[in-house]
Amino acid sequence: MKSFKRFFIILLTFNMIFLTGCWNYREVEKISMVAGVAIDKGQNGNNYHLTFEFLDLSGDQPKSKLLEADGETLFEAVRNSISRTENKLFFSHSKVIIVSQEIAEEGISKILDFWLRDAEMRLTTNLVISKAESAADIIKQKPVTNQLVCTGIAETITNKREHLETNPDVKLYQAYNMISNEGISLILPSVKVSKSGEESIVELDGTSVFKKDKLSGFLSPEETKYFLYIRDEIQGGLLIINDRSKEKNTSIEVLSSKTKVKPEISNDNLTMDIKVTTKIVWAENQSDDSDMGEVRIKQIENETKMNIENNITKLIKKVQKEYNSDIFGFGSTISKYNPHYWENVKEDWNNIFPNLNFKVTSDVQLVNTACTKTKAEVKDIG
Amino acid sequence: MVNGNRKGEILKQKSFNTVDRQQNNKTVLSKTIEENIKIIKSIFENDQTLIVRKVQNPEEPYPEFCVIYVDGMVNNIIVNEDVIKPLIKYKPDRMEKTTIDLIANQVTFSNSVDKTSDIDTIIQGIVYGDTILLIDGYAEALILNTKGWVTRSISEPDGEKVLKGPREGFNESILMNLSLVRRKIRTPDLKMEFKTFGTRTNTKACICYLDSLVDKKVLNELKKRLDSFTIDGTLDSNYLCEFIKDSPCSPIKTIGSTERPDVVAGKLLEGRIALFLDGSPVVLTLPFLFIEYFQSDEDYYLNYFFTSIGRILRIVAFFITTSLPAIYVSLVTFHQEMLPTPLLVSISAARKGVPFPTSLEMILMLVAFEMLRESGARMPGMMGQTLSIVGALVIGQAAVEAKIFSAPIIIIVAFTGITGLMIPRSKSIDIILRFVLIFLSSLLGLYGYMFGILAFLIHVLQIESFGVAIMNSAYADTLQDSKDIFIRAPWWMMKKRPKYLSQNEVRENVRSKK
Repeated sequence: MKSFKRFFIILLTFNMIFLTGCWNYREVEKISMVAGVAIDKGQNGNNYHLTFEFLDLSGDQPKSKLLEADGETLFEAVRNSISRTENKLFFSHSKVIIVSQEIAEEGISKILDFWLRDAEMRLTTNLVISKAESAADIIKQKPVTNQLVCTGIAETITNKREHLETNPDVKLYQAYNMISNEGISLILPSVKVSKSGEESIVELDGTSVFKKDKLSGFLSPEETKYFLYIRDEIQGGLLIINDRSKEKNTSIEVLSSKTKVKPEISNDNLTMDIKVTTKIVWAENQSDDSDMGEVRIKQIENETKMNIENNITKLIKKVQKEYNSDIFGFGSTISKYNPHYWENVKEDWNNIFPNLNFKVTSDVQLVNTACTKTKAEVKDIG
Repeated sequence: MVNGNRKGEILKQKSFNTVDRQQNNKTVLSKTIEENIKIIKSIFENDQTLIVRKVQNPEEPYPEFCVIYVDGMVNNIIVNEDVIKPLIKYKPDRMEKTTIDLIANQVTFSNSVDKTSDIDTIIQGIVYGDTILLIDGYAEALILNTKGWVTRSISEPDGEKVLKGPREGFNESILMNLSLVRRKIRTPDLKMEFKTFGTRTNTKACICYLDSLVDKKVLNELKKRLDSFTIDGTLDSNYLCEFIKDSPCSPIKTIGSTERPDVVAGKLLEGRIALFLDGSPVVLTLPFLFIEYFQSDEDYYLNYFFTSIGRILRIVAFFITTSLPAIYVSLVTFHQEMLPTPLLVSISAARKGVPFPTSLEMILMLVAFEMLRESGARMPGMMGQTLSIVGALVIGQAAVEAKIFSAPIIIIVAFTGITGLMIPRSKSIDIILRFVLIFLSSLLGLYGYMFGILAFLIHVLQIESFGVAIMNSAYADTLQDSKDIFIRAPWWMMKKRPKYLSQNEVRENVRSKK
């Protein structure tokens, strides 16, 4: 009896070890790390044409290599790629998925399903929309400093977010959240091919705006900046403002910014109250005006305030008129502040949004003038 | 059943000497000196180190004396000056008959004189370096303390060196070892109980404890276990350790050991018991807690900030040396998504062209390292240079350049090896746990690794050392209990002894406030 019990315990232990899932032994050199995928519409009756960029380790230096595959579905296209390479493609380290404009216009949710469902895919992969002829065009460009184009794109997106603030940074899971939540519409960063001297390179170019899951238009990098103010996603960035002679020659660096969007409901009259609080640094003075005193600082603060308020107003009006797509998430803000009110208006939100009243106020504080208090003056009497 | 009976028989016999004598039927001394010499000589037959020297006082030739001792075990000067010389030189009183008591009390100069007629005791005395004085006409003998054999000097033990602190180390003489501890704890509270082990070697052992601190339950358990076995011979305290240890089949220690008197004194002051064995410089201390693997004697002699960091490093090192190879194997062969991309790229590039699978590569390399370590420990000192050149060049550089092993493996193995040497006490757990974890990880990845770690934790948590759970410091529930675990708090903060070790847990450490 005792020996039977012992045997039973051993049997159970071995079952625990050997009958569990995740049996996924693979040597690291037997996989090809995919850095990014470009998704295009297929030719010859296939729905999809995929271009993978993966890391080629056969030489002395790791370098970028491309592989193309077609398929009726995305999964089929991925599997079809196996017959063209000796190694299995490995997606966990991919940085970016580039979707062609054509597919985005038809609806991006079809694409999202596969990448969200597959276990190997990382939800933090960046999703971008190609403004070029095809998504493959983007992935075929030469990287500037990186070994891989796709890693370059992903790194530019994060860098630019911190320093320039002219593009959104949308991961797979965030894109899914935007699509699946009511009261907010999807936006994605867009990329294009541009010239840098002789060579053509990949450049980030503003934002793609979606209505439901279909691409409906673009925002320029400058517009994207103010869009990010409304979404309260500003971490830094620049503002170029006028001096006293109304010339655009003063750079303002944003230190930090906080935006509060609040719905104000009175007598069924809905007004979105947008409050921006910004701390800025006077970063560059190109004007002839050497005065950097208190009065001037007040004027700079005022100018920045006007700049932010005007541009935000302009942007919201444009989105309301041209795209009718609630990319600012006003709907979801209302549902958080006043869920009952949202229940009433959400059916009709498509008609309410284009005519939505809003009020923009901003509070700007100039914190310092960087390393010097004075302007570099020319006093040399020639 | 046969074995059980035999064990019982052996336990019944007091010693082999008794058995031999029962066969010869010579158990008692007779009154004639010649007869007695014959008895002893027959017991030590063919042993030419036994010296039998007859002595007569010139003024009174009767009674005859006979001095018997083993050459080399006695101090010759003592035998000559304090035993033989007084016997020859003393002036017998004509009025008084020379009796054995007179010789014992008034003639010999020895500091310890025992009168006995028991042959067993006499033989024990002879083999332990005492001198036997037989007197004609008495069926009794005097045992005179003349022990004097050469011992190693007191030097710092090589295995437990300190930068700062006492530099004494035990040597092979039990009495000297006990005196080293006695010199540190000067109180009659320090008890030393002797016992003899080894049916053939008759080795002395000593249980040493502080009576007011020791947990009586632990002490009784120890005595019970020491009485529960017989052994042929004990050459080192580890012989005893393996007989009385809890969980005898586990690689985890449940009895500590040290060669330093200051460490023994420290353990005694925490309520532990020390077990000395003659002929071994290694003293056992018990109960042993798991945290003692990471406690070093130096922790208490250096600044507490510095030693606390050192102790945390040792705990981290234990984790690294057991787990790092297994984690590497599971990450590289199962969970490539968990590695940062640049690291994965460089590992992938380094593994290009290497013929073995990662897990085999890791095991081969670790075995190679263990072999280097073992040969380093066994070989004569002057060959060290050869080993380091061959080890570093062939195994390190050449193997990587020839694409037989990948460079990350060498780095992992080197790191594993170095961290393993940080805690030399835990090497038996290290080596077993490390290979088991690698095996599990190469089958199942991190799931297998977690499986192994959980099994290890369950095993460690259920082990007791003489009734004290060895992991009891892991769930210290008060701040006071945790002051000597992951950190070493300053002495004025340690107001209590470790939990469950002592019957009196309160230390007398008080810092007066002005």
